[in-house]
Amino acid sequence: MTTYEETVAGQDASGATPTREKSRRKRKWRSALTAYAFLTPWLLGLVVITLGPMLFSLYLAFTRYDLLSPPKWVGLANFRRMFGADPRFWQSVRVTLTFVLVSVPLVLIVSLLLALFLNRGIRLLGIYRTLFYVPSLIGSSVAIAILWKQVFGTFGIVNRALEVVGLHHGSWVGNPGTALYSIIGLNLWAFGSTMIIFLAGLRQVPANLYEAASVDGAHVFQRFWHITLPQLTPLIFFNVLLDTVHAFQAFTGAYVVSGGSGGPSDSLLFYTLYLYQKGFVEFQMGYAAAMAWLLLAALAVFTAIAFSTARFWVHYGDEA
Amino acid sequence: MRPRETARRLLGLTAGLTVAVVTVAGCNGTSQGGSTQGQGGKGAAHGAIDYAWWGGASRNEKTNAVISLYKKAHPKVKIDGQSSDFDAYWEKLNVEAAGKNLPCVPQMQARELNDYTKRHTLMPLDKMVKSGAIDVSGIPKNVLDTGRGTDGKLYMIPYGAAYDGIMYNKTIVTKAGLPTPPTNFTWDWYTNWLTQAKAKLPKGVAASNLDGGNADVFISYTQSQGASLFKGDKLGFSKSMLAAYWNMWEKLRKSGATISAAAQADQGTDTPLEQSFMAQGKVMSATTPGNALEDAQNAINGVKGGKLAITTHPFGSSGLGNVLITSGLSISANCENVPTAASFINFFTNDAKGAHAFSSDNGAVTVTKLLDAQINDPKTTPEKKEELEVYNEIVDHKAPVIVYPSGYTSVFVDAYTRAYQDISFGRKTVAQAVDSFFKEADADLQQG
Amino acid sequence: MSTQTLETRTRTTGIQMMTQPSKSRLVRALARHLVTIVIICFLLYPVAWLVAASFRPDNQVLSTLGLFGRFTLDNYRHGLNPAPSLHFSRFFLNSAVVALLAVIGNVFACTLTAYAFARLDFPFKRVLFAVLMATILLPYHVTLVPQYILFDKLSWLNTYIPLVLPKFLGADAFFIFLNIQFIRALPRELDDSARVDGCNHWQIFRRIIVPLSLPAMGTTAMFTFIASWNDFLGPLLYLSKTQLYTVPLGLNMFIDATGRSSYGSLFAMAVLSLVPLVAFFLAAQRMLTQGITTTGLK
Repeated sequence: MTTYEETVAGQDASGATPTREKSRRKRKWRSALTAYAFLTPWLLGLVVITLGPMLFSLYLAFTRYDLLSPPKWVGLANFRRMFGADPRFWQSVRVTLTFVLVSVPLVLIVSLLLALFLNRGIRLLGIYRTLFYVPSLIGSSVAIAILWKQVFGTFGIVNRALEVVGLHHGSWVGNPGTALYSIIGLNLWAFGSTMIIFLAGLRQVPANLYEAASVDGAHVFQRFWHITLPQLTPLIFFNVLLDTVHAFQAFTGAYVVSGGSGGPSDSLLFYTLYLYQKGFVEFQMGYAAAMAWLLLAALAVFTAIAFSTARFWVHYGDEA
Repeated sequence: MRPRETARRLLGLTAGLTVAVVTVAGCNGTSQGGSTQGQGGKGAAHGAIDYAWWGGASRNEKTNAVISLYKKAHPKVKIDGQSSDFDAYWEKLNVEAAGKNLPCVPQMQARELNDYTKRHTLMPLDKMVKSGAIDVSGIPKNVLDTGRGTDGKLYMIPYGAAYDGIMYNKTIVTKAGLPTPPTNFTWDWYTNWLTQAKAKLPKGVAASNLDGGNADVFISYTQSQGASLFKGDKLGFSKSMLAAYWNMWEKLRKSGATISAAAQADQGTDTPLEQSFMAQGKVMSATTPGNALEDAQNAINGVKGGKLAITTHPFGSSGLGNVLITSGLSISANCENVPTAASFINFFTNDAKGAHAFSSDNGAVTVTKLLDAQINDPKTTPEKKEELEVYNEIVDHKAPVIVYPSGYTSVFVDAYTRAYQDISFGRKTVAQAVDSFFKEADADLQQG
Repeated sequence: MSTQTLETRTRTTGIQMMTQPSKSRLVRALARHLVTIVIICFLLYPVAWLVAASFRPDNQVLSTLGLFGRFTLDNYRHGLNPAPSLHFSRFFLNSAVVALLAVIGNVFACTLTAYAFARLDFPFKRVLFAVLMATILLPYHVTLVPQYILFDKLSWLNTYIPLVLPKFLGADAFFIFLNIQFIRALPRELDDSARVDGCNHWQIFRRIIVPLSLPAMGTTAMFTFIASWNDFLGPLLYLSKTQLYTVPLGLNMFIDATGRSSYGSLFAMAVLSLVPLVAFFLAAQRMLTQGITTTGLK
């Protein structure tokens, strides 16, 4: 049986006698053992199905591999080509960065605002929440490309509406200047899943905090700023991190809407779409693996920065 | 267990597994052209084989009908049919090829064939033809030769031959007071036709799609000028020819005869036929696969958009340039039941009842006798008949055999479409786009 | 709705009652509903169009932008029975089996793992956490081929194992991270007081963390169900036999760019395939709405 003191013992090692030291070490062992027991399924999966393929792809990044003949070691050639001799690679970086910078804040702000709006005891909340979520349900289904052309295509509803008010635009999906924004729209359309995480988080804010605040006479905005927002920071952090990572890896929308080509004029050539083209269409798996690990490195830097700033603004309940 | 030891064990395990995966992959690709045993394909058909094809609802129905006819004739054989749509089909096939796990009989298309032959994932079929296991005597030579790899060996038995032609909306043409394309119409006639049409068409209807970015039209153009798309692994046409061709389209686009660049990009290559401008009655003419005629007519009936017709591509100084795009059946190098696979391919290609059931769904049936029977069959729809007659015309004009290098669809077609998009969206001049296209295509074709 | 919502409502209105006259309150409530409904109408137009199109004759499916027109059930009839020997309900059954197993596996593995990371101290914690994050960061396309070869060597092709087993082993690190964030947000005093009462880690996990992180588990379950139900690439690669196909593969059989597609049937079955998703969402939603107050712990 562990006791309350044991859990804090880790932080308070001062003044330990030899016998206490020994029993402490023993407890540490036991705690480690417990932890690894909890971790067993994940570790098993990590070793058997994740790490092997990951390391293999790291090896591939330094080879030329057409999927069917054995990989051939080429050193840094893939990376040199990427940086020096591949304008489409840079185009894919540009497209992806634009997407991340516009789409992530947009989705986060919209979903947080709507989550707050819906959480404030509106009648029919259950129905509204479900309806907001419906777009996320079909977010990746086969029908989506057809639907999206029905909205943003030449004969789509957006165009018809613009024609009614006397503005003519033409296809949004087909125009390289606007195609990316239709994908950003597609992404925003499915903001429901981010909103759900916020809503679930709002549910975890202990009600007594609000009760205390309302006794103190705090108004809506003060309550949001001093109670809701700090309590929500772990999930804001989670959503910022994950939405950014997912935006960097965004694939399906552009793949489906452009029919896999990344067109028109490479305006939808997302990083992972280009990676996919290289690997599975052009059979340059080595190059694709190199691109993947470069992305991983970039995201690792981003994540590390995010975690190191988290100390200053993310409030965890376990830091009591 | 002590944690340090646990960690060490974990590391050991991981390393071991990585090595295992690497070795597994390293073993791949060493075999050349599969097992030598049974390459004659003779022997009784029995046991199970997998057959994979691309297709939608109606083709699946027809294919399944052929499979059950074959099963009736060969009760000891079990055929596992797998279908997916065109894009998903190749995606799956690529991963299966990497795992040396292709279906016994994969459906191939001439344009993609050499991506697979070059990597030795398909079996040469010459011996099976020689032994009589697969009968190809009914297929015209220039059609059969589209199934050859870059090494000259036969890897695919073509069962259906498609082509791209000019589809036009007869109702719109007549209403505008224009002639329909005569036989042997030229590129000049064609562009004049479109230019004239512009002024006479109702609002919201364009004379043509913007097909300058469609590589299959350019093939017809080069061939009709006496050039060829490829010479081995290199481009077979000159920069000036491509520039002249793209300038022709730019003139049409700028005169307003075609739909806009954005509308064309919107249609893309993957847009369902039903959503295309042609099937919606919004263009007078467009390059379209011949076997789409029946479906396009069916779709346009839904909007009461008129009567459609199909003809060849225009003629040039060297005559008709239309090429055939064949689909056919191959045997994978990892197939272990070659006699059955050969017997099935033979049936699919030659059986009269089977051909009747399939009714040239994926291009005209290649065996001449079966084709004639289909054209003369009173039950064949007028659209199908028209499609098959145009096919006959193309074959009679000695459609050239194009050996598509590996990387054709993946590299050449994409780069071509992109280069023309750069022009039509005003991002590059024709000369700049031609230069960068040549650079990219030459480099990548050699890579592929 | 749960009692929680009711509480929130009376609480907020209670405050407002003190400060505002009731007439403007009514107007404001109406305005809020109006705003919500307008946003929803915009959001749901494509979905409504999908549903409406599924009831139109096959050659008019794609040609109208409006929501009304000739009505037919043919698409549903043909879609449910695409070939004489094939019934679409088979795909629904297959998808349901895969998705439910995936949900069970993922919730199980993710909460266990997340508890260890959020609450326990162990050697190599930082390293393992970094590895966990790295597995989220690598695009899945590159591990696809080695994984396929691995599952092939294990003779797991044409079974549901490659689709389900990884969930039981927590291979989807995204959800582990989600649960870690949720659990870390829970006040630690709860565990501590339980420990004072003599609970061990398993008991703390079972009796405190699991009930408290029901919203997190509901979220995990829901996302897993949706992802698994909609997954196309996994089943495409690992399943070749038509009897094993899941719904997305079945839907894919209706369409093809090189021939006639059956958009009517596709849309009809796509609409039907939304039904279990909405149903699962509604079921999981009850878990989501169970806030911390209803557990009676605080």
